Amino acid sequence: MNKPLKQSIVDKLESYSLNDEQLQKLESLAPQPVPETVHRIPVFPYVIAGAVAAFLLVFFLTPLLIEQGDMRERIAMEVAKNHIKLKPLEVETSSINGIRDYFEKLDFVPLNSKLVSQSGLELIGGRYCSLQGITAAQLRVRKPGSSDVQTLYQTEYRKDVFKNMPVMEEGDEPLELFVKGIKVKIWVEKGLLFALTELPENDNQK
Amino acid sequence: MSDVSIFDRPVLQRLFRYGCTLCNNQDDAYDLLQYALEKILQNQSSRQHASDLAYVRAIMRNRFIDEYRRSNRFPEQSYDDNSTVAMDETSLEDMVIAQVDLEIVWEILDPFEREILYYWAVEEMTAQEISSQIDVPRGTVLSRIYRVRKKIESEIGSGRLSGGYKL
Repeated sequence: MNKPLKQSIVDKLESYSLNDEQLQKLESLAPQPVPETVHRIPVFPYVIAGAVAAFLLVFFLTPLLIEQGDMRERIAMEVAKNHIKLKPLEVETSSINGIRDYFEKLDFVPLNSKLVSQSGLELIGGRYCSLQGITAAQLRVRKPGSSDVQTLYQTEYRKDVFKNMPVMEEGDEPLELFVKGIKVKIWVEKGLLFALTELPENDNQK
Repeated sequence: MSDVSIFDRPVLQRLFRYGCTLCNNQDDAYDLLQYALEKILQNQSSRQHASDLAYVRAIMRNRFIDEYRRSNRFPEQSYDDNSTVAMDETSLEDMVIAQVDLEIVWEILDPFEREILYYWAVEEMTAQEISSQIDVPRGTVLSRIYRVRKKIESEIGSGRLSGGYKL
């Protein structure tokens, strides 16, 4: 199938990936944090225990929370950036089966999202893409009769990459972040990570 | 990129793909990336660049050039920096090619022509930005773009491609 040269190059290079073993080897090169030296302080033992517990909480939880927040923002930024670009579709279809037929090289099966179906959005088509380095399907959807298209990402939910995300089956609500003037919803459903762009509500009213 | 570590997995994948572009071989690309990461950690002055992708890519590039010079595989084509080439990166925008044909074309391009295509297609840089990135005159970048286009046109003329292309 003919594609723009640029897209063919991107697709070719995205087919090259480090495997888990290689990634772990390279990650092991990263400098390890220097362990803190604990000094004996002559104060009441419960105070020391409390201070140590507080230190451990801050030491372990803060980086996790920062990393998680950072990942959410990076996903939203990547999705919003690519939504604004609106690169050409590689396949045009209004059915999920048409999408599955085209995206046969993915490591997962593209699915209908309950949340997307409830919003009454219809499929327009899609293209191969990636999200934080993980191969993804970038789909385009819209409300019937509307000219405003929305971008819907689907990819395998890799917890090691995407960290903790709200899971619909566990009753969580989707995350909502605003990036570059666009609302990006992120959630996990049926083992897939979804990200959907929307115009902020008061901008949808014409 | 200041909040991004070169040891983040998506960043490692990006750097690996850059290595694949230069080496056209995944094993060599892995070795090249590992070398660059070790190099950056070797001394304190390099560590301040631990979030700087451009710096890591520069190490990879220099190492690649050293290796290829040593093995006499370094491309000897000259690029006339002062020649007037009525062409810039936008001259590639209108080209359409099938994936299978790109594989053939990729093999006939030298590493530095592939590198130009990487920066143009993956990093979405202009000729001026590529010139700053790899520290060569803009004229050299334009010459390489011109040469890439000529090589693709030549392949099309030879009939080796399957036909999924358009200029």
